Amino acid sequence: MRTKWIKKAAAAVLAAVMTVSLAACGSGNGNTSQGGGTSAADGTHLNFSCYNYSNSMDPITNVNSSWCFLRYGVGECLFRFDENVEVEYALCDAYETEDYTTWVLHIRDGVQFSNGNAVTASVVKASLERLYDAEANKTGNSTPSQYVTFSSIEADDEAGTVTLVCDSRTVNLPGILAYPWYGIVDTSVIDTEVIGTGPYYVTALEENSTIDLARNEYYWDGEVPYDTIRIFLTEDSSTKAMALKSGDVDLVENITTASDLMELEADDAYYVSTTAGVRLGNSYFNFNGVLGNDALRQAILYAIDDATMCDITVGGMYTAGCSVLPSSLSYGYDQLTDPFSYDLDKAVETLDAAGIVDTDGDGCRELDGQPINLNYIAYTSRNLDEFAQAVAITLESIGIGCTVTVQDYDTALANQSAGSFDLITSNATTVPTGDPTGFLGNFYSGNSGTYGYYANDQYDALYERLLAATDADEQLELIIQLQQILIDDAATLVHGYYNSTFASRASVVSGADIAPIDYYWITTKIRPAA
Amino acid sequence: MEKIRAFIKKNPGFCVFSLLALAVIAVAVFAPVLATHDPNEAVLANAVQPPSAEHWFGTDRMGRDLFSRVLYGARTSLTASLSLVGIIMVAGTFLGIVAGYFGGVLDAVIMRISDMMISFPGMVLAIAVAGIMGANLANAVIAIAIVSWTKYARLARSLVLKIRSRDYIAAARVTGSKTSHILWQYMLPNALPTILITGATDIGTMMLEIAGLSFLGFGAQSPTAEWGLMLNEGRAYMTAAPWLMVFPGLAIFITVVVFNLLGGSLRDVLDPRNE
Amino acid sequence: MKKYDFLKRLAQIVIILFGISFLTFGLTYMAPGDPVRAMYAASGTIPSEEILDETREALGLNKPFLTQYVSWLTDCFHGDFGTSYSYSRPVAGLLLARLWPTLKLALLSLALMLIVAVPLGILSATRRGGIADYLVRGLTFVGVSMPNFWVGLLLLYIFAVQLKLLPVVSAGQGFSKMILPAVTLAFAMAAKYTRQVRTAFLEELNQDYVTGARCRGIRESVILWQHVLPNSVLPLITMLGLSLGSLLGGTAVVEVIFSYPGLGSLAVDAITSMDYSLIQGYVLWIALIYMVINLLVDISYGLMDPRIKEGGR
Repeated sequence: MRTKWIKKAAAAVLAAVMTVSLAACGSGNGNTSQGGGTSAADGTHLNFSCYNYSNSMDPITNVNSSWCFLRYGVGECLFRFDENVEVEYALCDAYETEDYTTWVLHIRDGVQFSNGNAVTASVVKASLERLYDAEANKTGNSTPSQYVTFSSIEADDEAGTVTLVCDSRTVNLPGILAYPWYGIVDTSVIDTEVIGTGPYYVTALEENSTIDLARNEYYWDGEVPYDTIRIFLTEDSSTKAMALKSGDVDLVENITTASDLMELEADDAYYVSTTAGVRLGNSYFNFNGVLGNDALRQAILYAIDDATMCDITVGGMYTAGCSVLPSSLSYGYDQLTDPFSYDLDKAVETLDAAGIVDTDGDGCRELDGQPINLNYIAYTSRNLDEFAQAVAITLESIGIGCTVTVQDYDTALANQSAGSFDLITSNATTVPTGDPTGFLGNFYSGNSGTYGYYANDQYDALYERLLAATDADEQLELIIQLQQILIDDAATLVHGYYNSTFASRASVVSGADIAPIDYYWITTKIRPAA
Repeated sequence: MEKIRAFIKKNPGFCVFSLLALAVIAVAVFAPVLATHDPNEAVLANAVQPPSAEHWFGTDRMGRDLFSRVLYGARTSLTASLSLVGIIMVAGTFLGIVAGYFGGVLDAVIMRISDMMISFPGMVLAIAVAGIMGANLANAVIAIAIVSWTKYARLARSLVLKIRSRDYIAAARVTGSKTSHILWQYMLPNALPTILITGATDIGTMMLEIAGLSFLGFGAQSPTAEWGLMLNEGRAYMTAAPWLMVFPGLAIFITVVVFNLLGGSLRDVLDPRNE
Repeated sequence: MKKYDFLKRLAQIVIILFGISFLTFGLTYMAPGDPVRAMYAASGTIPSEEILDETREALGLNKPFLTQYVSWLTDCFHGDFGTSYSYSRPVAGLLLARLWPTLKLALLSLALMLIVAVPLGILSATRRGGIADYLVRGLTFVGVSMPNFWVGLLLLYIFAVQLKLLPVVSAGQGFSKMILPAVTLAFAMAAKYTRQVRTAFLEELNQDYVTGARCRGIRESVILWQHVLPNSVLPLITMLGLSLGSLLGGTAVVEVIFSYPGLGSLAVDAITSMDYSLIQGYVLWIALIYMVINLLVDISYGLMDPRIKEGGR
């Protein structure tokens, strides 16, 4: 009797476990019907895989969320950058300014949000005000006042104009307003959803997993090619590449594993679009530490084989260079000279000449009696950790101790702002608003506290002149001089310029070209292959 | 000599596995002799090369010789896991014997702490501890030790409880033997065989846990040659360079198998009742 | 289980939870790194010292340790586990959203494991000493000795990359997304359980009633299926409960490999981004769930097997 009872109980439990598990799988099963490949026989559909930079698409949340707003093709700004990083009109179709302080922007007539609401001057005003309010009362982490502040924003719906009065002369306002923070949202519904004017709108969102988009029927700028788009948020680059190869997705952004990228480039079935980007990959030196020593920094620059690192270590993800401004931009890269180009013997000579030698025979050189051990902080984004490791290995080989700590971006940034590093990797857009002035300011002694405390009076003086300059030729001349000073001072370790990539299945997708300024991923140019 | 031969005859498995384990240890000890390259010598231009006559296991993304790194990895893994097992064995046994012998508040405190650790999936706390204390191999070992000593404490305690009330202990106490003497002379030898068996079988498991933490980035840090870390580094190159994933994985697997077999056969030797 | 025992267990759970909460809070308190700085860094801004101090003040992070601990614990009692700064959302909600995917994964892997382990264990026990037995035992050895992250990588390589049988990415937490991680998790577990089933089965086969039944001429298959199987499978239930508990906390590695959005990958993210409130909440939750499962297992076990009296076997 007893055994029978037990048997039943045991069977029941086992059955229960299985039923629950199978039910669990079953419930998930429904979601996967659209799992891979180009699904939905009727209508056009795109599967796109990208890294998840933010779960929010609200421009006020932070930098990354505002970028997502633009990148997913959900939102737009008043202006945008074309493929030459020149500003062009978007939601604004005309402007007037006399003194670069008061700007009258005309809002394009007939533009509607993806929910059908009209984009009026007062909505634009409300959207911009919301952005600044969020910064002021800390409901958002975006900091639009970093680029421009307004003493007044007035809307005239009759004339369809917004009048912006800047707190100071702002020559580059259109470029600034093209930055993703200034994306225009429908403020009437912002409490429930983020609605923009982009070619697509969000229909469903599963955090860290997928985002479903559908065509914005009200789009103003030409035909929208896809009925639906599914974005797969994918953490690592290899997975993205595998998903593309297996046919699960049709388009991926920025494959950062060299081997995968080479494989795709060699295969005709895939179209790989690469653009010399506007991002600089570099490592900041901390001048308040041992790296304040000129000879040591110069030796490091001599020792680092940028070309091999860019071509092999990171597999061509970067283009090597010596200046902080990318060679692809028109800031006089050809006129610069690099006195510290790769020469390992010179590196050793420089160290020996400066008395930075290994006196106690432990294989590690000392500076002022202290063995050198550089604290090198890196984060994993865009191959930066690989650069750091390659640099550390190289430096160790010439007797400079170097310990790489790989941290996540936020922690690394915190350490950077606290000045607790010797070297720290960085990858940043040099022309966020279409103009390198802001980026060059990182080396201005007034700002450089968070970038390693570089200071040079001559640089400061020239930079102040650049801020005041309005003549384009004068600006260019100053920018070239500033770059050369940084090179001569061994102010920072330039790794190279990041190449953005798009890889797509050639038989399914056409027009998948990556824009040099990477605020834009999904655009109406990406369409089904004929 | 005769005895040794008899022992070998009686325990062939144990002898074979001991030899294998010794071989693994020898690889670790003689890594500098066996390695074909300096494991940290990076020729950046030679990155991610497939296995060849020059590089038997190929090279990694920094152009380092993978074969040499796998050999040196044996040093890291063995040192870490053997010291981990040593720590938890000594600490756990000590606390267990103390708890069992003295009883009372001491017992209650030690056992409640051990309850706390046991009523909890170890890996969770280990990850948290390793992550919070900062990622390096020593912290990973400490983290796993913190959650793993309880097994030994419970074991030692139960063994001590079993014999505490025996006559010969009472006799020792009456004749005025010092407590430390009793613990050392009677309690420890009694608990030791079981503890040793458990320790030996644990080596493999601990090796896997350390490698797991390193894989997640909470253990050994680059440029250390450590198998778990090497697997993590090779992961990104899975399609183009599978050797980066195959060889370190095989190394872990083989080492763990050897130590698991050794643990099992040690149990047969010391405790023949158990099948 | 008697009522008294039950209450005692509950009290024990509460005490242990206290201990664990203290431990995790203490650890995060002592941890290097500055959560306030990290919080600002997350937003891409680099704050001044005054702002940092103000924020610490506002968050109560400059109060003494015990005060902070007590206020945190009181909030936890009210179901408020704080706000994760890296997600800017309440911790409880985040954990809840990730619990179900991990639970599904754990249950599926348990089911897979049983499907493999029970037949293999029985096969090995009934053919004791035979080729099948040796083969199965050899396999279990391989199973327990392979690092699960390696198994995961190999499976991913073989099935998704080479054979293209399964999608590399897919929406939601659908079956196809779960199958590889579940197999990976089931792999090592199956090895452990196969051994367990084998041992239990052998033990049961040596019982007197089996010999008696054989003597009475009852067919071997009847003995096996009606008597030996149920009796030897029962102890597995305890193990299953424990396994479920440790799976909830032990899926991190596998979730990371397969980028599966569960509790484990959340925890790894939380730790790398020093999201302390999330880590604390996670550890506390897992402890609670684990202990409740154990309690339920004990209760059900006591109910099912009248042989189990208080005091154990």
